[in-house]
Amino acid sequence: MGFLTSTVMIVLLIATIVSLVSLIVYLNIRFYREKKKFKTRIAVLQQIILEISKTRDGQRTQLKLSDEIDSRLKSAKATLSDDIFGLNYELFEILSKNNLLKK
Amino acid sequence: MVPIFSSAQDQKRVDSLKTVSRMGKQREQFKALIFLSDLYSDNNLNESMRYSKQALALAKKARNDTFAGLAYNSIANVHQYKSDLDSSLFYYRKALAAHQKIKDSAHIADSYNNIGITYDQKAQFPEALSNYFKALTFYDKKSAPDRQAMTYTNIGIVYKAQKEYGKALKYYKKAYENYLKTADEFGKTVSAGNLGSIFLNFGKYDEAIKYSEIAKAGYETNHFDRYVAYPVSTIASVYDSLHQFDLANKNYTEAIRLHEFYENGFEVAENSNAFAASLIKQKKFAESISFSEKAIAFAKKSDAHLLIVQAYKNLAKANGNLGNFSEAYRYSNLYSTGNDSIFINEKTKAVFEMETKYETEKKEKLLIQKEAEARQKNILLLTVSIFAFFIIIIAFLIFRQQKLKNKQQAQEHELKTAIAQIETQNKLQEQRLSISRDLHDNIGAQLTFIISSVDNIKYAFDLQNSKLDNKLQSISNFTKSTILELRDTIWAMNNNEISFDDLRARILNFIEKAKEAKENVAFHFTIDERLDALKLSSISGMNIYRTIQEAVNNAIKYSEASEIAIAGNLIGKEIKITIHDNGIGFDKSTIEKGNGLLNMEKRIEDIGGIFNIASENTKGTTITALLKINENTIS
Repeated sequence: MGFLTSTVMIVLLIATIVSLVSLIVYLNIRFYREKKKFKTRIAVLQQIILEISKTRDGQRTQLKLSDEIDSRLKSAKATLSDDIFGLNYELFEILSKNNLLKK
Repeated sequence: MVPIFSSAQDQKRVDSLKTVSRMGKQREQFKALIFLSDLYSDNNLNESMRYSKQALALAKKARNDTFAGLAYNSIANVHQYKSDLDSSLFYYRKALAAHQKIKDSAHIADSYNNIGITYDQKAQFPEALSNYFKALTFYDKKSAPDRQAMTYTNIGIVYKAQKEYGKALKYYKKAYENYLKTADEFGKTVSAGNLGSIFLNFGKYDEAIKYSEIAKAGYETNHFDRYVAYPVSTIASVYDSLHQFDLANKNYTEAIRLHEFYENGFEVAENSNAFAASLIKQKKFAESISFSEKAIAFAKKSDAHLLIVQAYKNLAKANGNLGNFSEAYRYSNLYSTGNDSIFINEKTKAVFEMETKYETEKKEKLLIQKEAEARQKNILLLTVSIFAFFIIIIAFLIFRQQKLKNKQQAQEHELKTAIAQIETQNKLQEQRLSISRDLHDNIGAQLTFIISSVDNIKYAFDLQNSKLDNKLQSISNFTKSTILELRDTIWAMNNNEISFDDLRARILNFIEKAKEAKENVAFHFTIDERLDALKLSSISGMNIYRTIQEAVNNAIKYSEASEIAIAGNLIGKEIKITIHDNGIGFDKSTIEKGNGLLNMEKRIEDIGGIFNIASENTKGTTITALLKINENTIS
């Protein structure tokens, strides 16, 4: 009887230990699988970031060029205003010399 | 109490040993303690034990296993003398373990022999024999005849006790033969005595007398007088059996005298009884009565009840033969009562032994039960520990998984937030760019309108005023150059990347226009074909184009050059752009850098390049831009 009980105990103990070891193995496998899955998911997100960052950088460059031309146009506007003013002045001087201005 | 040591010489030796045990070197101290224990074991067992324990303490201090084994052996001896056989066995086993640890085969064999003796004393004969044979195996390997002989004797004693006289005789003989090979006179003598007594059991009287005589002579020669009486007693028994009563009487008398002299009361009583029985056979009843009474007196002193009863039997017989019937009747009654008493005693003893056995068995059962409980407890503890270990590991794994999940969630959230932020930024930038494009389109249209208006005025009116004409021409030129600049910028803005091929086309277009303006200047434009594979960022492309444009414009305007060469080369991991003219050049130290030069330098440095200008009077000018191929400048 005692022998039977101890045998049953040993079998139960071994079964429990095997189950626990299996659980440990399962948890470990799940851990590494999750890690791998996450790595793939993150790689996709990182690729998206890379692409939209590239777009952003391109847009920044375009905006820089735009700002540059804006400032160039600003100075061109001033020059052009001066030139048109000079032209008008010359024109009015000629008209005035030739008494062509309305009185 | 017996005096501790019989002679002054012994006392002197003890004192000397005591001094050494206190003052000597460690090895000498130990030996002295063991000797002292041995000496005291004859008369003061407590003192003997004290020295043995001191020896053990010294052995433990010295961490010497040989010493430890000898000390345990000494302790076991004392327990054996005290008839505390279980303790004796325990310490002999400890001694054995210590000797086994250092593989000291001689002492291992001694330990087995001692364990055998203890089992023999406990009447556990199979165990005794097993240990004797183990000892014998070691002694055989060592070829130690004296030790072999000693063990053979011990084995013979066990067989004799079990009444296996044949086997006992075989081992006694072996012992005797082995002792003959050694110088151990005492061993030889004892062995001969043993043989004498065993031959008596077989009725081999000649042999019995021969070996008993050898033993007697041996004891006498070696001054072991105390033991002479034993072979003499055997000889007496032999002659008694042979009905040679004269010799028997002589030897009985001698044996009794010697035992009496050495105060061996038990043996006196036993021999007196044997002699009294022999005298009855010889019809010497009065003498028989006298020896029976002597036997009673000595048996009483030795508390040997059986011998007293035997003496009563002899007395009853002798008195009966003498006609003293009342005495004979009295002794006969005493004999019967004594016999009954012995029977009762033996019965009581048997009951007591059974009780003891029962108690021992009960104790053993209890011990086994306790051991089983302890084992069960250990198993339980082990099981709990294993479970705890597994639970800790599982808890750790779950915790690690949860931690990883949290970390992953945080990381994912961070990335998603970053994506959202960048997307928002991109949308805003897109809106700004859209507004800029609309604005530039409007400005372009307005500038075109201005050019068209100025050209119409010039075409519609024949302007004689050169000043006015120049003003209009200047406005037209300025507006044209501005619109060109705007177109170039819009071209760059509309492309995220500019290939070298695009850039080449644009530069060629610009050179064509420059050729139209300056027909006397020869333009050379070469570009390394390997550069076609490269793509520049829009800002890099724009800055390179503007730098070339500015350099060519400067050469046309100020250098008076007849040739202008533009080259693009790939050197290692660098792009080298060179604009060279063969014009008048200038002295770098004397001129101040104007806006044009500074702009070129700034544009190249903005895209991470190195700008260089080399010029000497009459030797032309060379402008070099070196650009490293990296992520910022080159796609």
